Amino acid sequence: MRAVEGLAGDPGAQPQRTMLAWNRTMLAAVLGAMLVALTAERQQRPVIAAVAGLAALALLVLVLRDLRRWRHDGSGPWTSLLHVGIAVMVLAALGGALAIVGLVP
Amino acid sequence: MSDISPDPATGPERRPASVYGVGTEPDARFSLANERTALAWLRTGLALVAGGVALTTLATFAVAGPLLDLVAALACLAGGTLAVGALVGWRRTERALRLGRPLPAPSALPILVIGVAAIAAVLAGYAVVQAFG
Repeated sequence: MRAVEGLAGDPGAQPQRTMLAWNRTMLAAVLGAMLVALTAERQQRPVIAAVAGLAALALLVLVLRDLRRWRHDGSGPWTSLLHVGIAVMVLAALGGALAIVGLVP
Repeated sequence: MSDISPDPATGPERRPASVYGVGTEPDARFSLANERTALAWLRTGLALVAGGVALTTLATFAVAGPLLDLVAALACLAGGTLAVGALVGWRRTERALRLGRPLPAPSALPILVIGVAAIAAVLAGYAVVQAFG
């Protein structure tokens, strides 16, 4: 749980809600990476599948590390947001590559 | 409480400096809400990418394969753009919060609308052609 200054008895449960939003986002990102990997595998594009799988793994490690570090210092969410954002961009690029490769039989 | 120097408990310098170097510390609830908004945008981008990837599967056995692939590429592009928009929007909003300025409008909204509308229109057309073609 992330410690946030002055929100100990917050009736809106903001820190918990933020943490749950992080969990949902991580779940969605990993599922998205799995979808890209499985789809690429099914279409016999092993390179794209491998990159997607590795991206999912790297994202998990990076962001879980970020979220753990939050407990110890009060740095903002920027690095974690950046990491997840880059992961979404990578997945978008891989999906676009799948689509464009499909255009050229 | 805005006239005190930054307390040492906040650890190292917070990044990005362009956000945390200006203004004063806002209510933590506002910052957390801004963070959740950015995460919601990221999930929206992920959903668009997932839809595009699913479309490429449909394109492998559909008659209008190239068209579907084109829409899939557009959906993935829109998803990636939304991820960029989420990060940019977080920075702009956090700055505005710290400076006490009015919040910027969500600039990524038109991208989302165009992306979803394009996918919906093409898929609806595809369904009609499949049914009557």
